[in-house]
Amino acid sequence: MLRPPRGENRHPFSMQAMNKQMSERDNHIEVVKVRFKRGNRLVFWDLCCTFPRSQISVILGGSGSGKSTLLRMIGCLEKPDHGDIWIDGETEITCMPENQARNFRHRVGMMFQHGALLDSMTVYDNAALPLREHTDKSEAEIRREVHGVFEAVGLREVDRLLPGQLSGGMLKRAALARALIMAPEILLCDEPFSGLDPQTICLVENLLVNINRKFRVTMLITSHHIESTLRIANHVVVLTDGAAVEGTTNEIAASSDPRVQGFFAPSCNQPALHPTTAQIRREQPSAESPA
Amino acid sequence: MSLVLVERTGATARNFVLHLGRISVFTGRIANRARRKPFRIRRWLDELYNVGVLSLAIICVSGAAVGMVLGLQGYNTLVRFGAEESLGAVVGLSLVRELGPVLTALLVTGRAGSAIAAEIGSMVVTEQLDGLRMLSIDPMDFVVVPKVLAMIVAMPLLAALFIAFALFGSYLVGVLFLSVDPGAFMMSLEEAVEFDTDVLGSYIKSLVFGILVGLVATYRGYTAEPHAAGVSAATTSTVVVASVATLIFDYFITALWGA
Amino acid sequence: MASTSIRDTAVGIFVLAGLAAVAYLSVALGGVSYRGKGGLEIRATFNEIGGLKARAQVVVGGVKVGQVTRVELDADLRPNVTMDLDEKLQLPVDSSASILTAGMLGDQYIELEPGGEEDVLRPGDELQFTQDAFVLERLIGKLVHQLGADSDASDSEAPEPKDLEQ
Repeated sequence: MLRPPRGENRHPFSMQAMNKQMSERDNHIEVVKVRFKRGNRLVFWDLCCTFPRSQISVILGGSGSGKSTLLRMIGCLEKPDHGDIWIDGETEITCMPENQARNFRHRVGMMFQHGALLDSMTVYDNAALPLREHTDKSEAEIRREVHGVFEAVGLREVDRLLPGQLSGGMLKRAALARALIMAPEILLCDEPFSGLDPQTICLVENLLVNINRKFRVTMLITSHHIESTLRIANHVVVLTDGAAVEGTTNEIAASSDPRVQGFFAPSCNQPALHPTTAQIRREQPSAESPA
Repeated sequence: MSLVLVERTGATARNFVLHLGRISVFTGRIANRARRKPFRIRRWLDELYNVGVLSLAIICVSGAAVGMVLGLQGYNTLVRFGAEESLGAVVGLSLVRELGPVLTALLVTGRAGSAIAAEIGSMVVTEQLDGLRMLSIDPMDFVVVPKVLAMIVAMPLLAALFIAFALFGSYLVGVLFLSVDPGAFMMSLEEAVEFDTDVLGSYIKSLVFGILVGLVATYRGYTAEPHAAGVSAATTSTVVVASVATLIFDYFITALWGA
Repeated sequence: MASTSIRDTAVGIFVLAGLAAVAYLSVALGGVSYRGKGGLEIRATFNEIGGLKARAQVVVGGVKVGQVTRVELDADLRPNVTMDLDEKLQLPVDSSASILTAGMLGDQYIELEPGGEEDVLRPGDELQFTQDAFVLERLIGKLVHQLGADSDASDSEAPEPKDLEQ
């Protein structure tokens, strides 16, 4: 289950490493000229954006801008009216028949906004479900893997609880655990910080960054939480007017594009944290307590 | 003014045909999934518990009550012709042919049908079905098929239990309270009820009703609008549509089986 | 896991109870078990069978011994009835079959009256003695005819004795 880091084990967040990464950026997911209409409302028009491999990308946008829709399209839950989405530059997912889509989804894990765990099953059974369905592992092996993932996300003693009995933070972790159990290449997180208090938001942020660092999984996070974005994102995609403006965190934060500025306006006064400062914070793992 | 009425009627008719088409496609998908592995016995057993065992209380109590009323009313009418010895026959035939399957279907619709619609509807709202899709698990296979199959198996069993409890209730009222001769009661009951025409037809009815209620409840839940009002609408329309469909199909089965 | 086994037990009890009810309704009420006991197929020809249908009862002295399986017209256009009786039944070859009505307006059934011979009927045999069904309209027709003839005869010869039996 634990995916070994790709390539050499280098510190991804030193300034030099970051520059090097930007120049040889490897796009895991490419969205090309996607158009999508919901009823009478136009959501995307010729949307183009990319998501680099093994990086944390945050999709920013106001309500109704289509963040969740974009995520669902990448997870093959919705199909655009027009356009392509490429994975690894070789697999086009919008035209895939259902059985191929089902195979593709093995490579993707999705963490839903409200958890989306089956509320009639315990947390343990929810996390074990994909293993029981798609692998031949014995119950003992499954137990080891599930507990391993629970450890990684900081969940303790939740096996017998039902999803309805979890607090907000625990629910997000349980959803994250289920998304990670099959060791996906791509992790889609729909509004992971919504409805959480600032302390828990910090915990979830650290969790996501650690997961990204440890397992080198490409993360796509939708949010309208500016501070979190500036803290953890390597790559930012801002959705406005049915199209996207993308770049690294610095580029976006310093952007003079009026659409981007309009979005950042409320927090314009807050200084964006310098990457190295962010790195320092992440280097010191904060004491995590189960929420 | 009348033009609006015509338009509305046209729209309603068109919607009806549209939904009929959709539910047929839905049924086809269920039939397709049901005959393929994995068979999900565990889930089916859980659903059988939810539909069957949890409906036992209402079925048994209602059955006894209906039987008692039937015994009373039947006696009051028959005694005028001096034919109270035939109470067993009257009660038995009414229950086995009509009241058993139909009332059971209506009760189960209200209890289990609405529960199924609400459960599936709320799973749509909370994205649980999408969650399953992202785990490469087909929600039709995992959620819908076990529920429909459980309903199909449970309905005839529940109908038989309803009839049994109702016969007991009418026996209680007739023999113990109204002094009908127990031997006459049982004899007229056993003489009048025949396997071919009555009992077999009764099973066929409850089987068909089970299919109907299962399909309507799961379809309405699956296609519920993703908000709270949508779930509530799905639940109420399940009860209405399934009940009316049961009564209409009851007529057709009775007519066809009798002939 | 404990709750699962309790649930499963409950489901098992439910299914058993349901099947028991189904069995009771089918066998005790519906008389399914009767079907098994047939085996002796006997035929009889009548002139008039009235409302006799397939699955009508066949009784001996009031006890049900079988049922009618088929009713058809033979080459002489007379109704021929086939009955399926309890195979253990020992009926003398000169037994007779009559079509009677249960109550005033009830269903029609066949009553077999055993004869005196020693030989018994075997499968495929045909009963020699039959009594037709009672049809109300014919009786009334006869009465009317007879009354008419009487009034004529009072003017002419004595009325000929007429068979009321057909």
